[in-house]
Amino acid sequence: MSVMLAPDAEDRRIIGGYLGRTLEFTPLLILPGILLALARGEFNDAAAMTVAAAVSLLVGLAMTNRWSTQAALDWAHGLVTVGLAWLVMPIPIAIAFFLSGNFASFLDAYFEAISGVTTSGLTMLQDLDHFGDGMQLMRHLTHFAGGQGIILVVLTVLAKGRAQLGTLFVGEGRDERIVPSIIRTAKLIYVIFAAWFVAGFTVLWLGLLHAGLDVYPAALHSISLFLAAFDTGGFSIHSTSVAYYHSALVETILIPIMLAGAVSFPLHYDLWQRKWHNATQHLDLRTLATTTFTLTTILLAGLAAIGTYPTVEGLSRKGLWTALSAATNTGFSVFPGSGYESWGQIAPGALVAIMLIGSMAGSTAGGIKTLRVALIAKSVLRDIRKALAPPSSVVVATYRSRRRQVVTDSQVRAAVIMTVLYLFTAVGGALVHVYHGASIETGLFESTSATANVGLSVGSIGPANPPSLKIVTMFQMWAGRLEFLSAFAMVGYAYAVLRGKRLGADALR
Amino acid sequence: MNQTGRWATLGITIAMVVAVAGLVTWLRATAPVSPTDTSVEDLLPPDDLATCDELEAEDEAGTLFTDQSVGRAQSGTILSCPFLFDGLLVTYVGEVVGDVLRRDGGAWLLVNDDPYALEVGPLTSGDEPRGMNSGLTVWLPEEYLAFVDQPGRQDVRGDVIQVTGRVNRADPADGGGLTIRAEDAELLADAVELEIPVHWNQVIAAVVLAIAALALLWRERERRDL
Repeated sequence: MSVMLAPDAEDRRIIGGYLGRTLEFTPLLILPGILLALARGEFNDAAAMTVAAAVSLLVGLAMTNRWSTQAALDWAHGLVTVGLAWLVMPIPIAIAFFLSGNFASFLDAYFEAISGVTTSGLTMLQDLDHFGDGMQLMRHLTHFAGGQGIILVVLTVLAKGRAQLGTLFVGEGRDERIVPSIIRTAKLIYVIFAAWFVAGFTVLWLGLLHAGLDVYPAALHSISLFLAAFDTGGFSIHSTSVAYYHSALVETILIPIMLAGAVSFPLHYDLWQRKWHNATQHLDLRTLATTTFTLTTILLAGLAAIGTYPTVEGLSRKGLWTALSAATNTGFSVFPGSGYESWGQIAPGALVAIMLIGSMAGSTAGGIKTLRVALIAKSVLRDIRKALAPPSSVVVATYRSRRRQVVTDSQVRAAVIMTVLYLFTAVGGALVHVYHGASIETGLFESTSATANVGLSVGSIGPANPPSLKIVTMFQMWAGRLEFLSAFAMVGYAYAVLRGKRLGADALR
Repeated sequence: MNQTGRWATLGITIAMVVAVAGLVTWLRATAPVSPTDTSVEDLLPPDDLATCDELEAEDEAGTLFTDQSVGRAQSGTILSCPFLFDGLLVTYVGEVVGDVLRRDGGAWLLVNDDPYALEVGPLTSGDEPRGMNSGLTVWLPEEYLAFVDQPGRQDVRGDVIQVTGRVNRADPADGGGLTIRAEDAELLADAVELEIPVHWNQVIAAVVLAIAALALLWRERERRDL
């Protein structure tokens, strides 16, 4: 029988030290918002964000001062640190949101911050259409922190060549490095991001000028749109999301940016290195294309059958665009939530499936991930072939993901477990919605959107929700984004704190 | 770390949480309210609002026709039953927010008719939130654009306009979006710039905390360099 040990002082020092580092970093995320608010004369917002940034820095410094250690970081520390970091880092952001006055409670403000860093895009913000520019910038930068990975951001900015950081990387739901070094992988991710930002911002800005915006609003909107699209977040500056621009051009420009966000960073790197065959033969990318094409066809057929959009342009700009927004897990919308009532049954069903499957592993998107779906499908086909083959034959399934690999039973088991966890979380969340009076269809839609960090909504998630539903939705966004591993590690850690034996040993090692 | 140290850490942590929570709650509670009156409720047309139930009854009775005028309608109602409103003439009142997207002989506008637009004005840090925004897209022809010169933003309740126009559930000109194509429009109320009092408690807290944080950062940097 194994004995669970309570975490000792060294464990607390390691975890507390990294959390302190995360809080030390957070002011850098808030600073651009403060500067913009000052420039725009939004002094109360600037003061609110300064309070939040200062509190974050003070607490962060106090934590690193008390808990700094040179001790090695192991697997369990990493998972618990990541899980906690994604809960702690949104707190200063929530303080700024709460002080803005646009949230009815701190819970709502915290919901918004969690939604931002998990790149979900669901919102509790009231009077978005009059929200200050500085706050808007900070709000969209939460997508940046979450999309690139909070810990990854912290490592790049604050860490200096620390070893044993792979566990933090994996804890954030990334399991494929671009190069063996984590720090170098982090830097390459930033190079990829920067290249896309320069191109995406410029083209979006020109598109928005063409759509009728003035120079400054076009710049602010293009930064926000880029962050929300590339980091597959989905926040928007106005309540009508992308429909605000009434521009096929802007919608078209956003498609490649959203798709880029849904593609894994290693594949971006391969394309950068002109290894085209890695893209064409990449199982993950092929599966993404196949599932998106199939389900989008079903969605469009469902819409066409009931005549929701009588024109091809309407089907493309509302149906196809929404499908792509869901497939990339971005969650931008091109019509109000109530618009789904005219979508019938088939199209929303296909949309839920698209959201749940998600995009590529190692990208900024959430969901089950297409690689897992493909591995499960490959293993089923392998088993069928094995059943039909002569008893002495050896049947293996292979796939290509940057290099040719054999499908192993452990990979398939992990993929099945993750798929079951996503399904369980989505259905469980739906039942909570139903308990609070929603229909099962509405519950499944909203719950799947939260679990897969999409952010599309039929309009039933909002400030009027009871606190219990908000907390469940926050859990779904957080656990879904971290792919459950860190969440389970945290539960185990909490249990160890409460029930573990205090032997003074290294409980988590 | 011994037992005493653990309790000290717990005590410091709780004290920090209580201090931050207390500060934030106090700052929110003492936020000033804007004294500017932005309400346009007195200017609104008579309250004979079209409802989905009425239209449904008319539709079932076969007395609802395209181009029929149904009087004043609110965004929430139109969004609730867009099929019933499709093709009907409505009167719609709301605040222009965001940007005037001029294009092709007119402009696309986002026109909100929520409480922030018509009753209490833009939400500031001292106000009680009144829900999320609600509005509709309005296409306004060039001849009416002269009086829309100030859309709403954080410190401005934008121009409030009254339009009479046709509801398009899936407007081909907007890629299938729900729009009102204005056939007549008038300015109901000019934009109002809000007086937003500076929240001095918050400013002082920000300055004091920022100085303390930067001082601690400087000290920590020196300590870590040693």
